[in-house]
Amino acid sequence: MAVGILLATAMWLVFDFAPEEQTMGVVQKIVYVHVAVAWFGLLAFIATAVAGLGFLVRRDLGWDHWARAWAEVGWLCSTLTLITGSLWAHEAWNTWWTWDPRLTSSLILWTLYAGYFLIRGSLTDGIQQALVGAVLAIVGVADVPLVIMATRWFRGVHPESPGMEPSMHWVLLGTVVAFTVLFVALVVRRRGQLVLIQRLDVLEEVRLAGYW
Amino acid sequence: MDTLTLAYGLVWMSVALYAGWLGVQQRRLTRRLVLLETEQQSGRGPMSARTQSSRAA
Repeated sequence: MAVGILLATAMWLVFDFAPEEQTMGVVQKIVYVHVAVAWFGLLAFIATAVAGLGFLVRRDLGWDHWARAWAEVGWLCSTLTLITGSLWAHEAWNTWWTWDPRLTSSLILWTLYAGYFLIRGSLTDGIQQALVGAVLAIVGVADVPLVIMATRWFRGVHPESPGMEPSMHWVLLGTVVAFTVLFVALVVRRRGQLVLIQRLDVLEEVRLAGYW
Repeated sequence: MDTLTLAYGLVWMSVALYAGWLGVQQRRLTRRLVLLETEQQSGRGPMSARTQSSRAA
């Protein structure tokens, strides 16, 4: 309920409160949702790596449930980042895609997420899945600073930061906060399901072994 | 359809699909849990002594 109110407020801020940008017009408002999903895509990969590290240290599948839940929502956000970015690029640069450093490193991040699930899916043992997933996330997290710093370290067409007037910055902040709360809620819910799946598997094994 | 509507529409549709899938999954898991717990309480697993004896009868 609170998440719904927060998101409704964010959408009101975007469509009613935020002023229209002079050069791009109303299409510029894509930036608000684009930044919100892009930020969470990056945050989720860091969280996946941290949870993966937790699993490697503690050897507790509870950490892996967190890692998988963060990765799922992170992958969704990473996909949406590429789509909304592409739509924005078509309006701003008259092209759907260009091999700009920020765009390329974002595509690498998406591929890392995809690889994370492909490799996990190819394994049947839960411990092996967690182990390989943790290693991949810890190695892959090196791409996150690359995505963030790409506009400073390399020359490209992607703006370093969206040029905005102060009221637009507040709308951007509100949208990022609202979407972050929504995505964290989805992560927590998914993590709960993964714990339940593990509990059900144990119950099923006990049942099949004839203990009741 | 203008680009802005398409962008926000895609984001909201994806979030709704994922949340909906989570809801369906939750219902399925809860049903399975209730079923297993009921079986456990009544001791009617496929390999349980009670089931084996009733099969023999």
